[in-house]
Amino acid sequence: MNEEFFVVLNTVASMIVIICTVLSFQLLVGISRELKGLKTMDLMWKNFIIMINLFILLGITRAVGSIGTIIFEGLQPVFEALLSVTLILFFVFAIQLSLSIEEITE
Amino acid sequence: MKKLAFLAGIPLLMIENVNALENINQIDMSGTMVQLIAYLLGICGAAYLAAGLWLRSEKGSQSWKYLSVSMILFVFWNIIGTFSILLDVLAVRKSTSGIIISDETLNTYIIIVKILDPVIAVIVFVILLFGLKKIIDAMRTKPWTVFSKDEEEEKSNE
Repeated sequence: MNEEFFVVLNTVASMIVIICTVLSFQLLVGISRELKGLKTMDLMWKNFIIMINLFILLGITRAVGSIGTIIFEGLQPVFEALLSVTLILFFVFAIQLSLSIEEITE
Repeated sequence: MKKLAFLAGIPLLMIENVNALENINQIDMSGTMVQLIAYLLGICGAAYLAAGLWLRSEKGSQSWKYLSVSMILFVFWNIIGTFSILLDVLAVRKSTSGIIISDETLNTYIIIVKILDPVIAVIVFVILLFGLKKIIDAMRTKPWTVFSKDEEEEKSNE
């Protein structure tokens, strides 16, 4: 398969990911507005919102990174480093969210 | 004092050797290791969260299941990312690593990884979007169903 096919595939996928992440962020804003009235389960929702925000950031970094790399290859290490940092932060908050969900489930 | 000075110089010598090796193999090993560890941590975190969300969906709203599926696919995405890094390293160090693999096989693996990576990324974020939409809809219409099963739903299941 030629390189052009991968360029098109990555660009289309990145576009869809960016659209989905922007829409997800808008929904997350809606969820946090709905949560203003709730006083219980604060910690779980706080972790949930941080975790989803990090997940969205991860998607945007990956999508912008793959488009940016096509334009200028020198940007690749920067995006890879950003992706690694976001993944490590995602791990921390995913564990915290799982623990707070477990507390509620019990 | 001279002995101590020699001991202090060992780490510097090691760094120099690593740098020399990196230049020979044309790959940044320290950066690659950080990336690999980040992907492995992502796999662990996402798998643990997927299990937690799945349990939550069995006791509460089904909308949590969408997020759980999204996290399971995210685990696969990270596994593919890890394979991609390993294949890149293998492609560069094939001659020195001693692993016998033909160029055709290696290229086939790289092509499969390159195709799967964007496809899974799209599926992950589309499912996440639907999951969040379901959760916000449940919060607006029947907020009590977010954390506990709906009575009508339970009756229909029975």
